[in-house]
Order: sequence, then structure tokens, then C-alpha cells
Amino acid sequence: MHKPLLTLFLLVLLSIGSFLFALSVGSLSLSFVDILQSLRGDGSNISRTVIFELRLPRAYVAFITGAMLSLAGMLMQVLLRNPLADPYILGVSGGASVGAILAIAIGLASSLVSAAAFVGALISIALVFGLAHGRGSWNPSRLLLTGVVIAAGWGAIINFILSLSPDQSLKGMLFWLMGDLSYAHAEQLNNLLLPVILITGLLLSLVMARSLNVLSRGEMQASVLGVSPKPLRLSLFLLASALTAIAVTQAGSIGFVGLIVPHMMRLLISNDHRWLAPACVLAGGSLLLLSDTLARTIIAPQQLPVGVITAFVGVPLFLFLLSRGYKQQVMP
Amino acid sequence: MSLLSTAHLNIQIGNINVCSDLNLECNSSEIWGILGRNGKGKTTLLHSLAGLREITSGDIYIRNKNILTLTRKQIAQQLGVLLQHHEDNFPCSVMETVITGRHPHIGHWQWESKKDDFLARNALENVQLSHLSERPINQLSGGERQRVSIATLITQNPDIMLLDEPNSHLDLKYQIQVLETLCNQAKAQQKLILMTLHDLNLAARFCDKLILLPGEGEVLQGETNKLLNEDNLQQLYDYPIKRINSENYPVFSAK
Repeated sequence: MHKPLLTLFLLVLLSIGSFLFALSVGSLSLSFVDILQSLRGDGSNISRTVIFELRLPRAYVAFITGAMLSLAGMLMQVLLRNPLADPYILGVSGGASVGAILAIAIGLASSLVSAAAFVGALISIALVFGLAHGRGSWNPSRLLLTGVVIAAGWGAIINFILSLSPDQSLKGMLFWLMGDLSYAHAEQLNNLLLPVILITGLLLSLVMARSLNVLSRGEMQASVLGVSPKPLRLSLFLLASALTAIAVTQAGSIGFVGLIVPHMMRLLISNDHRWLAPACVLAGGSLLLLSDTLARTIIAPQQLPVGVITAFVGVPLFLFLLSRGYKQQVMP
Repeated sequence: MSLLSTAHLNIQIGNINVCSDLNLECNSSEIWGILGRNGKGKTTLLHSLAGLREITSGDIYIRNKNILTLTRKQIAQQLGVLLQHHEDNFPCSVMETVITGRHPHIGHWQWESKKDDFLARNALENVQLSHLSERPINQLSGGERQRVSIATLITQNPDIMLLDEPNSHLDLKYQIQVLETLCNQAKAQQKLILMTLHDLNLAARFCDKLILLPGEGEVLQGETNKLLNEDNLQQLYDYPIKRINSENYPVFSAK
């Protein structure tokens, strides 16, 4: 079988496995049969409630958020032609965080916190875009530096707000900053906007995928091979920013997923973005879903922010793949 | 019909005048060389002809169509460029890199066909790199990387080929072989080649016509044999150069 196809197939299995795992573990552990019965609408009341009210909504949001973040990370890496780029590098999450913790500081409801985060993200996107596309020529380093500096600016504002906030709102703010999925609720299962956005993002990435392969050889070479860099660059920036803004609005700024998943997939599958984009969606979703399941069970009844777990899981996994990848390259 | 032509072309970058009022007419099966000292705008001229940078004034035509009216894709289907610098940010295999040459010929949703694959393999064979086709591109030597770029251009298969120092990083053997492959192809398939060169001996051997850029916007163009005389070269390189007539091609050496 074609190797990338096989890897994608395994990633589909991993995604299904992550969902089953997330639905089965917790204070009430459910067997595979319980889950199937509940999903079909049979089974005991309590297991149905646990699945539909608690675990499934959270798993659903976790998977989609992880998928969006890693897809956005992949797009950012090509846009900036920098392997260290992640979805947050241009300050989108900084803007969102300022919006969110301001909302928490004045005691708004959680749905309004999300709205404030989204507005913050949009402001940040507009700011970076305006500054980087202002007068003078455009290049990846200019965009990168603009984004990094804006992100640092947001960081300063966040620290300012945190240092002025009373103790009772601090924990909520810190959880939000580290990334937290406990806001997920049952109504989100009926909200089809999230999967529609994710699938649209994936389809757009697939349309651009071969152009992205060419763009990774530099803008000049891309032009020579028939890609107009300007519109491609703009679509990349807007798509990556939009995916990041929505992901951050759902779950706060969860770190590492958007950086390490695209990298792991580059090492595992290939740098051909036609394979890479779907692989990032599946692997990013699975990683965040598994991490969130650990975050809510590992020291239950207490819950950890999922961002802590993604770092704990992601860092060693990534280092392992990196050393393996380099070994393969040294001995072809 | 000329493949590539210019009318009253002016190119200026900063205070450097690359060419003024240049009228070129390059036809199929012709091999053109562009010669000049460092920093006189050989690469700038080449990039301008490919529509990769803005020109100061004048017009550039591909098959009598103004280049400004063509999309990048339409240009790429007819005109290819061998660039001097290569970026490999997310390195792929040699084969994956070479097959990107087919990009302008394939639709958005299409994958490379058997024919594209065949063209890429053929091109790799042309530059004698078939044995490295699965090697990651970042593990190649400078000369091998240069040959990968040449293979990418051959795979793109444009009628107009602009080569920016095609022989850089190449051993003597490959300098001759690669230029022979490209020039023979151009003659056999009615293609046009324009290339910047540093080596006068290669220019004398391969080019039918030359463009000399002595500086200050001045441009000399014409048959290789007539242009490559000691007076012109002294003026061009600001250094005395001796022309020695040997049996096949003249040989040039710095005095």
C-alpha cells in the first residue's frame, strides 16, 4: 500500500480510538458496549447523560480545536517559511487572551468571554496585517518580526491585567491562558459551525497544497513555477489566522499542538502538503483529545488545564521523533 | 514570430542604470549569452525578462503578447528560469523537487500523471542524478543541488529558458555536459535560451548571440563572433583580455 495513505489510515484509527478512550474514562468508567448502546440511544440513563452532556461535547470541541490549531500551524510554517512558526507566533492568541481576561476581570459570562477573545484575536490579526503590509516591500521576516513584537506587546498587557486582578478571578484567567476545555457544553454538539469551518479550512488547504509545496522553495521559485505569491500569501495569512482565532476562542491558548503536530507529520509522512494537511487535522485532533482526557482524569477529581498536558505529552514525543528523523537522514 | 522581445526597455535600480532603450528580439533555436561585470545587472535583466520584478519603463513581449497581460501560470507554461539561489525550507526528496516543474501544467485538483513522472525521471537522467532520486534535497552537494534545479527546469519544459549562471558549482565535466544537453534540446525543439555567464570560453562555445552590459545603461548585442573582440572585452570587464584563435572556438585569457 502507498505509504502516506497507510499512515493516514492509521491516523483515522487513532482518531476513532481517541474518541472511544475519551468517552470511556472518567469518574464513571464505561465499557465499549456501554458507549455503543448510548450512542445508539439505548443503554442506561446515567451513561447516556455522562456521554451526551459531559464527555462527547468536550471530546468534540477538543478534537476540532486540536485539528484547527495544527492545520493553522502548518499554514503558518509555510507562510513564514520558518519551521519554528506556530499558530500563535503572529500574536493572534495574545490578542484573544487580552480580550478574554478583560472579560473575566469584569465578570462576564463564559459565552461573552469567548466573544471577547474572538474580538481580541481579530484586532490582533488586523493590526499585524496592517503593519506588515504597510509601506515598503513585504517579506516573511518583516511579517514575523511584526507578529513577534505585537505578541510581546499583548504579553505585557496580560501581565499588567493579571497583576491588578483580585485573587478570586486569577485562577480562571490563568486556566484560560494555559488553555482549558472545561467550558465545553452540550449545546455545542448542535452547533455545526465548528466542523464546517474545519472542513472548509481543510478543503482550502488542499486546493492550495501543491502551491504550498512550490512556495516552500521560496517566493521567487514559486513565481517561476506559475504561482502568484501575493494572493497565495494573503489567503495563507487569513486562513491560518481565522483558524487560530476560532480555536483560541473555543479553548484558550493551548500551546504546543500547533507547533509539534505539523512537525511530527512532516517527519512521519512527507513535506507534500497534500498529505500533510489531512494528517495534521487527524493527528492534531487526536493529540488534543487524548491530552484533554488525561487532563481531566489524571489527578481526578481535580482538573488540570489541557495546555499543561499537551506540553507534557508533546515535548518528549517530539524529541523522540526528531532524533529518529535525523538518524534516518544521516544513514540513508 | 519572436519568442521573447522587448521594446524601449529601461531598467534602473537605485542609481544603477542596467539598460536603457533596449530593443531585443530573441527567436526560437537561438542561444543568447548575457555578459557583464559584477553588479552591472545581468541577473536583474534576466529577472525582468521573466516578469519577476518591475521594470522602469518599456515593454516585454512573450510571443508578441505583453508580459503584463499574462498570468504567472501562463508565463510559467512558456518561460522557465534557473535561479541562482535555492531555498529548501522544508526539504523533500530530489524526485519530489524535480516534479514541481510540472506545477504550471497541472490543474488545481489534479495529481501528477504517469507522463509527469516520466518527464521528471527523464530530466534526472539528463543531469545524471537518477541514482539520487530518493535522497533528501538538503543532503546534496552544491553541484548536485544545481543539477536538481536544472532538472526541474527541464521537467517544466518551457520554450524560453532563462538561466542565471547555469554552470555555478559545477565541475568542468558537468559544465559542458549540462550546457550541451540544454543547448542541444533548444536546437532540436526550437526553444530559446538566454543565460548569464562569467566564462568567456563557454560563451564562445555555446552562444549564437550575446548581450554585453558594460554599464551606464549601454547595451551591445549581436553575433558572438563579432562581439567577442579584445576591444569590447577590455571595455566590458575593465581589464585587458587576450583572444587566442584555436581550431574550434576562440580561447580567452586575462593578460
